[in-house]
Amino acid sequence: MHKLPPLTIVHLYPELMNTYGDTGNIAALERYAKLAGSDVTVIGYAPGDAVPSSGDIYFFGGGQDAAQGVVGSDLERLQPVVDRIREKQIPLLAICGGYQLLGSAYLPFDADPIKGLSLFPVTTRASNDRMIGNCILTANPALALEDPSTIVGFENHSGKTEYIDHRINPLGTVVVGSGNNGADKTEGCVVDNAIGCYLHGPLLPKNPHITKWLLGHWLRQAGEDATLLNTVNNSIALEAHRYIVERYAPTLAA
Amino acid sequence: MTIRSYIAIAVANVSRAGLLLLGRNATTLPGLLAEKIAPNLYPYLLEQIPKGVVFITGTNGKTTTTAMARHLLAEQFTIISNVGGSNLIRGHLTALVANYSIIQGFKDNTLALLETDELFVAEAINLGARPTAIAVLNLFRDQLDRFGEIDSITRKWEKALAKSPGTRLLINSNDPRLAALGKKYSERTEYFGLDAPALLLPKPSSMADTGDLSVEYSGYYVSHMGNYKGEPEKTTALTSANWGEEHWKITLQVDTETIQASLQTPGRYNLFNAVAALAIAKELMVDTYSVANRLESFTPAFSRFEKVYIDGKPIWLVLVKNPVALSETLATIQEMVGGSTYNIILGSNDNIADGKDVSWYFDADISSLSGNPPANCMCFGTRARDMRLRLSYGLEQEVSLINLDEVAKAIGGLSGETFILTTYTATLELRETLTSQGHIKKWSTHA
Repeated sequence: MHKLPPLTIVHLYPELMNTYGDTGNIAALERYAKLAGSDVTVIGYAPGDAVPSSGDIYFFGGGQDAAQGVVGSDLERLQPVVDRIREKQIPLLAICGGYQLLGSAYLPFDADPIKGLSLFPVTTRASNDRMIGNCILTANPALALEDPSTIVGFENHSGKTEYIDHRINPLGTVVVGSGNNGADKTEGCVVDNAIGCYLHGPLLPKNPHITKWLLGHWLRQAGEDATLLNTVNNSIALEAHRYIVERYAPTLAA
Repeated sequence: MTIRSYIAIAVANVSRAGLLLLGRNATTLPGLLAEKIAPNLYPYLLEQIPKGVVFITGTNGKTTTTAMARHLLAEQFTIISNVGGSNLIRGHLTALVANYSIIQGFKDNTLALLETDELFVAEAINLGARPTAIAVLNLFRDQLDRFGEIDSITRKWEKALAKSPGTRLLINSNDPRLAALGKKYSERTEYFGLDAPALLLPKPSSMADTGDLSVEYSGYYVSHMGNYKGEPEKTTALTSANWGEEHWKITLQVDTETIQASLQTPGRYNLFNAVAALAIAKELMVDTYSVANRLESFTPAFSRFEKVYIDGKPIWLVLVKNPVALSETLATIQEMVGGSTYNIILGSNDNIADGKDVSWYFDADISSLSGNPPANCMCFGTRARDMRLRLSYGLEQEVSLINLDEVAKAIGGLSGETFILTTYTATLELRETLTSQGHIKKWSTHA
């Protein structure tokens, strides 16, 4: 088997931001990369640690309110990391709270705005609407994801996220659920090779095409052949994915 | 009491009798009717109970702890309890109304032991309930899509408790988040829990979540429950436990008294349930020594490692509704089979009562399966495919999908012990199917 370069995944705030099975995303990246022939290292970053600037792929999950407060006070230290991600178009996945904190700002009800790291050109405003439920999208064609053309997940948020720059790409169009804000049918935000979105589930195990998209960008940047990822058997994942679409968005089921 | 309340009780009792005659489960409908007819009935009835009202709440172990406490106290009190596990206002009201006589009220030595949903605790107090004591077992992530986040639950409890200054708190000190709540009401709080260093694990068995509390642990029992720096002192403690010959041998410390007892419910979380039940008995000032001896004769409640026979084959039924329960159940199975052949069947649904969000499958620790993996593993239910996908992260072998009505047939072809792990509605569906197919004639008496 062709030996791929080693992969370093950086998991931001794993102890604090780990709700709703989001660590399954790390497991999916790890599994696909290993099966394709790479040695994988996962580095966790906790508040006060040395800033993790050597990652090949970054992951930032969601957390409880209290944990998000602790993260908020450490966040600034990661600005150089985010600058490098933007400059070198490094793959990143941020879910829920992670997505909000990587936007430009979070606006609570009766407190000062919390400044984000501005990777995603979005702001999030606190609301009284809890947006909870299965969320099914048709994938944004601009991402050129492999089949299937759907994205499945479970959202649970009350923050409403709006774009402040309308030229950017959503992850997909909402067919079932609320998405970014419950109004404009967009869900998530993609900047270069970074995805921010509200989808738990966890996202990557149930959407192998997104797992491959993130890993594919890493491989191409390393001068490798991204089609090596196609050797990984993902039939169990696709069967789960298709069943969710059939059950909750039957009009989309092929 | 108002005329309206009399009517409510009468209607509820008539409907209960009707349902029982029809052979239906009368666990919520009578309460629903009473609630609609006389909304103030609930706090009124609670107040009439002569020996007091204990709420039992927490994420895991409510049903078992309530059943254990009933078993321990059955000789001392006439106990009213929501035996069916219906733990919101309707379930409470149904149990209360069924035991209330319009002429005589409740019997003199009546005590209410009420399993109470985590979110309903604050609501009940807001409705005017003033429980004598609340036993708080633990707080894990469970059905977060329904509850919001767990930090918000403790905030709600804290606010509600301020309105009910006479309510005593019995708190599991091994859960740091709960101990923090107890410290806010220290003058009316007593703690129970484990002080059994031999059982401590160096790392949590599944994800330990203490929010933003920085906790210095000396070790973990289950998930984030452990011993740690600054843990409050317990008045009811379990200090040692050894599993062998299908039971736990345990040592309990109640104030200064040391008690040896035994327990036939497997799994470490049942140690927590037992010590919680004993703390409730202590609160009611019964003789804890004789009560602790009754632990030995307690048999597991509804699908909590309940042993049944399907066509003569012994099967264990286990309810798993969150990541901690799944992790602990898999670890307990390993302890029970000790290297011999076994099989696992998982039933997972995503109805409201199961939690519609199935992301938690990935929060469970399934690594205990890798040492001695099950000979056969099968999944059924609306989210069988999601569960199979989860298992594929850690379990090498093939997992097959079956239908609910094929479970009994599948068991017929298996050798070794079989464990059926099901989410809430999958548990109900499985029991119904096994009964209607005639595989199980009679369930144990516990609901």
